[in-house]
Amino acid sequence: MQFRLEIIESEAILMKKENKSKLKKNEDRFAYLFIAPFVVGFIILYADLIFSSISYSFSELTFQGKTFVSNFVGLKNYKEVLQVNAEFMPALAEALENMLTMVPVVLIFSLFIATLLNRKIPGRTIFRSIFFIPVILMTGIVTKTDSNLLVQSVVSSANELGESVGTSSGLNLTDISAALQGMSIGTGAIDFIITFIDNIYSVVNNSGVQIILLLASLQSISPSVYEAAAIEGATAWESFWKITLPMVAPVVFVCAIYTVIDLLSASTNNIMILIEDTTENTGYGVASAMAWIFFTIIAIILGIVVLIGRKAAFKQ
Amino acid sequence: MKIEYILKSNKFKNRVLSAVCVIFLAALSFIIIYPLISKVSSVFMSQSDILDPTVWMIPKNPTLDNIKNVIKYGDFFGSLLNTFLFAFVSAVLQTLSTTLVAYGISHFNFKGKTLVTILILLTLIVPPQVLFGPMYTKFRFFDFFGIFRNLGLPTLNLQDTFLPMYMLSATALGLKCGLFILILIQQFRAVPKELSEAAKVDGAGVIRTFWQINLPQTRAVMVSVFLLSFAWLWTDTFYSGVFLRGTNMFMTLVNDVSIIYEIGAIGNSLSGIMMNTATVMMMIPLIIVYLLGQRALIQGIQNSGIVG
Repeated sequence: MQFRLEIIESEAILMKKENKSKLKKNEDRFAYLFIAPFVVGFIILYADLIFSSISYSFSELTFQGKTFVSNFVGLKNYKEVLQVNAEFMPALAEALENMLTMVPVVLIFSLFIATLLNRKIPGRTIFRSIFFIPVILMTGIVTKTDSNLLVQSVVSSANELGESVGTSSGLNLTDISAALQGMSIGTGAIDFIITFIDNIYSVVNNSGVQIILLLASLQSISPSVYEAAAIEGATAWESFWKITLPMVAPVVFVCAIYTVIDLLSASTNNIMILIEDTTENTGYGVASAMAWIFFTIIAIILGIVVLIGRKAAFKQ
Repeated sequence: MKIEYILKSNKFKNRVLSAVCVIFLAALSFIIIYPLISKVSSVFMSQSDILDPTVWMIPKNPTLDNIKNVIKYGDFFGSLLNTFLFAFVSAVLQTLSTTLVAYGISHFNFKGKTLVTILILLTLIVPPQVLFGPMYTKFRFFDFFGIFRNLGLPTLNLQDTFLPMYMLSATALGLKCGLFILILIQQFRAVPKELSEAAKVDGAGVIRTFWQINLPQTRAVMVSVFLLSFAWLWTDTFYSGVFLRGTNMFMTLVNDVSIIYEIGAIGNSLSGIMMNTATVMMMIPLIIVYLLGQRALIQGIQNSGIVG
């Protein structure tokens, strides 16, 4: 009797499972409905853009009357960029160097700020809304017409008028570096601090999205974990390294990828400026070749970041 | 006893640490706000105030001339309307399309999921500058797979309309859409699966589960996505540079005003002041939207628990 019941039960479970998986499959068909906008857009609009951009990089474009006329020239554009063009390599080196110094600075800074903003401190909401200002307000054209432009125009017009106006832009860096040298730290460290102070505004501006993402993941860590650690006698420093960092490591990894993309594709980037100039002066073919060489380099760098970061981020 | 002691000493330490944090954050907040305040204050400065090194922040001879000149020599209201139509509609479309795509990827298993994810990452990695030329030609001579050309019809000229940007936004290919999709995917994954399953048991279909269970849990993050898209589209220079070269936009206004000054139509050379004034005037709607939406931005982050 009991045996039969068991069989019936197991059959019922089996049926249920089958039903469920069928149901699930039926449901999964709806996925195409949800991703349809992207897939349709990619096929109709985007794929075409990528293919024609790649084909432009292999051809010479002339503007005749109303339309572009393109002649296939093989690798000529690429050869010109890599062997003839005198500006590309230095601009590339500078952009990469800038990225290499900025990525760690931005990551450490945004993690630091996110940790501070996560503490229960007075005025936390106000600080948070202030720290999101750069992401919302100081973007695109606003950064292009930045206050330094105002200062420049003032200085130039002051020169015209024969007056002398001291550079009013904040900190005097020679004083700071002299003070630091007095403290006898290594020159490397001094350089690092000076670049940080010099670039603090751009560091703050580039960290907005990262702070948002990191703050969100910090908030998902349950406070009871920290309480337990504190009762066990862990200091704040220890619990940062043993609890906080491992928990947010995946998000730090995402932020690293985003920072690399953001810095390299920013329109204030040397390479991007060079590509825009080349488009206007030398021609679109060469500019496309430059762009795709640069894209390949970005993809390789991201590949390296993913390979290193994945292991580090998902260790535990 | 011991535990109490530890907690007590921690409390004191925490207070000191909090004080240090507040001071540090206040200093950084000043760095962030300072350029904004100086931008706004120099709008009201006359030329003599700008050139006077003793004037700091508060103008001695406050004036509205800069604002009047921007309205007089540039198409301020036209630019405002155009930029609003461009940024608002595109941001709404972007928010909707990225939400749909993110839900599709996060909640279902389907063939080609990996491929679609890779393609989304590709759209994030390819810098839009790479596509400048093809984008221009594509929408200057717009054609669905050559259908118009084969029928002998002329191709459509979509330059100086908002349609190209609307199309890109509606298909989740607009400005930084890849990033928004990633953020929303994390958010949908954070919604407990039990909720959807319970709804299913109660007989809710896929659409209803999405609409009544998952969407309300994501509302705050959607507002954040909308805010970011709206702000970035508002200040955008790339897409308006490709599609809207002849339309009066934010960028056009700033350029126009500065060019008029460089020519010397008004008789001085402080084009920077006029560019700054135009920028601040165009930022007013953005500031209003930020003030309205920043609570949602902060809340959305607090509720989301985006974990990578």
